[in-house]
Amino acid sequence: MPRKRKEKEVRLTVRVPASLLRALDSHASGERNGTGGKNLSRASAARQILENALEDGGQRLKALLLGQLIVNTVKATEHHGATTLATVRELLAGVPKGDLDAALFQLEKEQSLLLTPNHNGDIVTNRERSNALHDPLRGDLLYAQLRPNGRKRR
Amino acid sequence: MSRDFQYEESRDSRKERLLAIRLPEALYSRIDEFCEAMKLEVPWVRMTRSDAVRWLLTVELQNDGRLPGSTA
Repeated sequence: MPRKRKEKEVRLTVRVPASLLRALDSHASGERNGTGGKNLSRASAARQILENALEDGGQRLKALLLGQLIVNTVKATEHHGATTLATVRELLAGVPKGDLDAALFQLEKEQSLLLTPNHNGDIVTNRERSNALHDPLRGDLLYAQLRPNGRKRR
Repeated sequence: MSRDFQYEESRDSRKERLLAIRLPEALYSRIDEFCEAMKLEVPWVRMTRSDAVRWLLTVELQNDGRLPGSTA
């Protein structure tokens, strides 16, 4: 019977914080993986996690990264707790409009940001209007506001 | 927990170690594809293959509650 050909493997060495290794060991423990007391090796656990993370082509993680970028952009540019969506769009110009809009709505749903049509009576210019996010109930949303006690993103 | 122990613990967490893993070629290519996609979608984030592996592991373990802290 012909032997199954082993898939070629590539060796990769990565510098990681000690805390990450400890978390990896904890993940690899038999208790966590329910393999009847048999522990996974650290490398196998890492491989398994990477496979899970890239299952959907990394879409979930890309969305997470985009969310973090938006929150960081708002934090960096906010004035009295809010920034215009025009500023966010200009700074994240490389992100497709549809993805950015979806990520903004998602962040609001997760209570990380609040999208509002006005802020402290600021004067609205064409720049803000043309970069608005349309909401069927609230109309054109022009500002992204940081939630004072916003839920921490996972 | 004594203060010295806490200090040692936090100092140890900042230390870096080497993680050596063997990845199947298919997974290795998927990591490369992920890096390429990140370069196109968020060009201001420079993400090497090692950065991607570190980041993917960190985010997954944080979501799992195994690693404290947020990626934000």
